[in-house]
Amino acid sequence: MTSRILFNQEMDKLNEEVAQMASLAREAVEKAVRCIVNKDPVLKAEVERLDREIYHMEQIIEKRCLELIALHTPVAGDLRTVSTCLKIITDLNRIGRYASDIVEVYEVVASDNGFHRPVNIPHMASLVVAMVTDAIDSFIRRDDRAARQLFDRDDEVDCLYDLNFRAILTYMIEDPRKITVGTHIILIARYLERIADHSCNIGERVVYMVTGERMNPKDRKKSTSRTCVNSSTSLKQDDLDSMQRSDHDLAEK
Amino acid sequence: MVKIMNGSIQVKDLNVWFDQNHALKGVTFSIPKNEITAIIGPSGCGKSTFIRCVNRMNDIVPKCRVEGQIIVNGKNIYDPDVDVVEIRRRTGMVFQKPNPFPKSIFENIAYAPRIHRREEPSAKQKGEMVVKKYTKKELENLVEASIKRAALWDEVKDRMNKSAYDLSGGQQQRLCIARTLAVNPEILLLDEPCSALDPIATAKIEDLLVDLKKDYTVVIVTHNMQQAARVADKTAFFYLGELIEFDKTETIFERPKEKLTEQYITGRMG
Repeated sequence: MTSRILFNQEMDKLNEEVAQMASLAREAVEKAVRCIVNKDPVLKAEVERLDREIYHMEQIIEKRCLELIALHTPVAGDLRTVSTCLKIITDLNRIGRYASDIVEVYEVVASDNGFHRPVNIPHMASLVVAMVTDAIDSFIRRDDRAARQLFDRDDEVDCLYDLNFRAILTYMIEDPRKITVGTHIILIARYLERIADHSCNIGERVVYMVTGERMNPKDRKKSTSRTCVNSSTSLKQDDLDSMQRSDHDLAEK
Repeated sequence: MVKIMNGSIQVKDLNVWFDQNHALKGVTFSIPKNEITAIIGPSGCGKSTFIRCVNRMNDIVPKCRVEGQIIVNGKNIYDPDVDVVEIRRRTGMVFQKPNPFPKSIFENIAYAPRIHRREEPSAKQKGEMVVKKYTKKELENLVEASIKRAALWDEVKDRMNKSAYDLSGGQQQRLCIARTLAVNPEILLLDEPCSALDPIATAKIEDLLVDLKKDYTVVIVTHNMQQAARVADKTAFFYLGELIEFDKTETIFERPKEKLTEQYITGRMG
């Protein structure tokens, strides 16, 4: 009976540490976005510090998971929890890395004042931060339904990435002096899109942890047409098409 | 007398009473051929009672009543026309504590074949079988083959006439398995065969069981959940005389369907 008490204590610690690491990752993304959007240089150092802390926590949690497996041989729901923690700490670490990558391009993006039109970056960032938050909450609350909803929202982020990419490309073609900053903003959009993907990975592992069901990769991408169905963005395939047309017109000119 | 053919075991609505105690309650499931099936569950859940039903060992327990069917290849072993001795020959059993006879290693293996003798087609009448004694050479070959099959030969080949009690616990248990194999069974029942053994001897028995399942249907009762997870293809969880869950071992240990199963295997029962 003693070993179960010890085991339960270890499992509680594991859950707490993962929640703490997730909270750091969320904070890193939030601050990275604010750093870029508000042009706040103080936050750059803060995000880099968070990234290091997240990496350190990944090592601590990995060690705890391996000890739990070696010393307590967890099975069933316990095994799924430990394996989920082992997997999602990699995603959380990557989210921290992407936050750090976002602030890395801060100087380049901050130096430009004439690049206001690709306004979807803040909106995309808010969607992504919400996804990270909900992925973490689904883990903490063991909510597989909330975890499944992340996949639809990922489609929306993918769609926004496409739109941003097209928009920025168009502005770079219009004004080649914007190529450096434009490329960096595309990178930021790409990092945000990858953070959304890692949130979905967390969601997928939460579904497995709660139900034992291994999600088919095809289930993750039911919407292959990349149509932004959520009315909050009001962005449809038509927007992409019209943007493609304007690109074409610009090229002809 | 009806002969039991080799094959899987189908258990249908099996109920066992020891006097007023209802030890097994409506157990129904099918044990596949050439696989290892582990029976797990807390003490007193009916695991041992169940496997003792498979070779009708409960017949000799006073005030024990068995209802339902255990069908081996289409024949209910509880039918009145079934030869119980034949059932026990074809259903080998190994117990928790190694129990070699107080005889030499050779005699431990040779004892049962000498009694059961062997069957061969009759030279006089086609389709008939006749029972014959083993010759000395045949018996030696059989003993050697059985001990080799139990992965014990290299350890005992030079001391076949020494007492079986001189062997270590793990060797004695493999000798008991070899003794079972010598009468050519189809089903092997093992009641916690490794609980008295160290990890090295346990690993040898587990390797042996995995090898033996190619030729035999193996049913193992174990309290060691990790042992069930390591060796069994299917696992049955018993609780208070009922079969709670029976499924592939990986399913039982990764995502059991029943809450009771999860509570038991994660040590959170009670």
